[in-house]
Amino acid sequence: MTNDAGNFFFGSSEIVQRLKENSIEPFFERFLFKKNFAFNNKNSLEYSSYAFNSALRRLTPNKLKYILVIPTLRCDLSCTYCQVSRASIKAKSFDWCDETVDRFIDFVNEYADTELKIEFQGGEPTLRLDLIKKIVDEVSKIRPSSTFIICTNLQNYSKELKNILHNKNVQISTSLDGSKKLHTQNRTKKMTSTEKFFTNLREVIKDIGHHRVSALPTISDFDQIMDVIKTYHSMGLNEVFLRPVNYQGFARKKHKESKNDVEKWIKAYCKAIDYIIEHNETEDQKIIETNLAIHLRRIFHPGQNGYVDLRSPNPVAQDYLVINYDGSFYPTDEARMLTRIGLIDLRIGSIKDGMDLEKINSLNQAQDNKNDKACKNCALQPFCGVDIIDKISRYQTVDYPTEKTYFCQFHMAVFTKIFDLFSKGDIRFLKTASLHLGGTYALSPALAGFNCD
Amino acid sequence: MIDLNINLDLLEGASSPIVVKLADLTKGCKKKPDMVKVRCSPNRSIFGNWCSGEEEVSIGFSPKFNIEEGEIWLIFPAENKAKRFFRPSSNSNTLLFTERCDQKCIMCSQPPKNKDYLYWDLYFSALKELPNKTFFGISGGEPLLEKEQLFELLRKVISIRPDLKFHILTNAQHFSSDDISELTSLNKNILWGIPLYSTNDAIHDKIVGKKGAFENLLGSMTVLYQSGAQIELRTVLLQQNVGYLSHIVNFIADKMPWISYWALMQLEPIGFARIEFLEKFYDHSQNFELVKLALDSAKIRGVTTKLYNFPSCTVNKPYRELSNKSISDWKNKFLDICSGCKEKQHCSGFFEWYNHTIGYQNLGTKYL
Repeated sequence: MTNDAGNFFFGSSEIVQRLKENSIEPFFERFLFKKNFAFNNKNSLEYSSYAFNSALRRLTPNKLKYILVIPTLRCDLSCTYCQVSRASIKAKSFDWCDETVDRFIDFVNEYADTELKIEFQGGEPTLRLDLIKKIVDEVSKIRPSSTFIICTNLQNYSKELKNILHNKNVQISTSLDGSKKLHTQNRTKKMTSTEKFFTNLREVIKDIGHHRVSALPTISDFDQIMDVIKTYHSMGLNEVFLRPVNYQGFARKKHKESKNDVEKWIKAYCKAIDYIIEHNETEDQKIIETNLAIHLRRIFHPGQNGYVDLRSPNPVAQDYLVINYDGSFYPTDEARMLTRIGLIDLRIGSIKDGMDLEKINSLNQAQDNKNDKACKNCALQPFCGVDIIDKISRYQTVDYPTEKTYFCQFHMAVFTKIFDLFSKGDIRFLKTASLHLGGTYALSPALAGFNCD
Repeated sequence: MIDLNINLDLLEGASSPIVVKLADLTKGCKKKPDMVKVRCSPNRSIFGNWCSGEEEVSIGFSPKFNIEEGEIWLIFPAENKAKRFFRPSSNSNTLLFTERCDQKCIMCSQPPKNKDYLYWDLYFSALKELPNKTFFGISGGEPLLEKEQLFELLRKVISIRPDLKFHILTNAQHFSSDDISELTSLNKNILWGIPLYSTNDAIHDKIVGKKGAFENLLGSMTVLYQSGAQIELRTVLLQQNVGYLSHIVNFIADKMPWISYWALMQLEPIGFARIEFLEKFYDHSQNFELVKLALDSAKIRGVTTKLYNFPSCTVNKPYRELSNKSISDWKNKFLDICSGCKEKQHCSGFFEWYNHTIGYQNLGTKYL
């Protein structure tokens, strides 16, 4: 049982029956008070806590905190699943112009929060290190506590990039698909390029430390998921974000199977989580899986509403914005991909003309799982999210029944797995959950007492 | 607020208490003077002026006496006494207007006395003169024993000085739902420091020496929530409650997720704490496990935590970032073994009255 505040407990169906009949025993009544499911009146800590967390779970930041910038759409690789349908390296007019940079700085000055994060995406953003450097320098002047992430394929680790990394607020994020063979097959096409990438990855980790380097896999062959985890472990990367191919861009043609393979992915993912739980029990170097961490935080940390892929309401263009190579605004990275392939125009303004408020408002009406027929009756609603861009992408309409979507089925599966392991009191899982939420691999009294009988 | 050991040489006309602010430290004066000359302003507040200005009151003091520009003093001519109300370089400027308290905590660092210093007009004049954005403490005794006057003072001060913020330490025994509207208008400028020592009512009550205190406290917390209060929930680590730390964390996460943060504080070895000290002091340097368990729980449940008075070398490394450098002047002591320690700049240090013979067993750089 859950409530809007995200309090939860496990009980038998007999308990539900007794609740319906209003014939509960004193012991169970005390339990309900303890879990904030019952209160004497509104002037009580139970009600205060319930009201506060219910509101907090729906609170989203009202200032721009995260801007995803695409200084160029050009790229020196051609990955089979490229979600943005990148432009070739020599293509013209796929880059930010000087005017866009100046307008961007003014835009940041006017609208961004003090704690701002800017992620450079592409294409391959390091093809325009001059733009990156200018943005990092100028934004740091007006928002000194800003942090920056450069998402690069690390085919080149140039002197210029090293110079930018002298700034400790700049981090590197890269793609590592698994073993060298797999990485070559999906991304580089040539083993020599893969070797170069691995060398560069090791070097950048050595230069700026693990804490400033993250790597992400894109998993197209689900049977290889264990190899991915093992590769990350062997590279000393202790966090891995297991993500399947995103059904966008080139992937729509070259990985057609990714549209409706949710069951296969869930199976592979759950197996991977079991493997990680087992690994963490036996190995000293622990593994954190980002998806699992996100879902656990959604359960235990009300107010963790900064992750736009799993939150509700999920207002667009409020705290998060994508600015494309041509200066146009998009609500998410996926939205620019959808627009690029001509499926639907999800452009919501531009750095030159400002926000398209009418379009933003109409998108936001559907960005709330409170209004969704299926979600209303779902116990996972307070923890889960809403993503109409994904819905449009896969099913071409926002009216597609939510319970049939990839989004619903995947997140339901992850939450169900987590709650299942909690209800069983699986000791190994409890320790891995501690690790994901608090950083320590150990049993904690904070993750106990969920069963009412 | 401390008594100043100075000789007052008062000129005619000064008989009622006055507020003095020392100003213009360098203006027209190269040598450090041994005389403060002050000038009267119409509202009875007097602003100091070094080496110049019309004399109304002059104060003689030893040249060794260390004073700063911007200090605010309260002067009581009739008793030939002066108190320092505010010192710019201090981070713990605190007003104590009563030493009475309705609790009698077993570790109280400032045991209650039947004494009051209820100079409300004077405090108002002095608070008005604080520098911009000062974070000013109000403690006791129990300040809420004078609730009406305190609220009135705060209301008056905040209305003309909305930049000021107050840190008020209270046992939270005296709030009622009648206070909600008043509190709502004041709370933006207040951080309430409130003690919670156990989740077991009997143990909390025993520690604070008052029956029913725990229940009162929880009632007050509802009132504070409804008025939008910012709360620092404080737990002093004791042998009596070390087993309850994780319970406290879970209790906060379950029942008071809206507080600003939880402060776990190591015992200050003075006042009542010195009575049977070894029955109260929990030496976490010897066994960090129960503290660690609570800190992990706090992270898992998303409860923001700070450690006060925990010297760096006594805290396991991953938790050291929770340990704040002490802000109080009387907690900056370091020991002989601290010389050459690289952690010193981040370390809480020790209380002025720390006694190593009955203190931490495992101290020093080898434990870093």
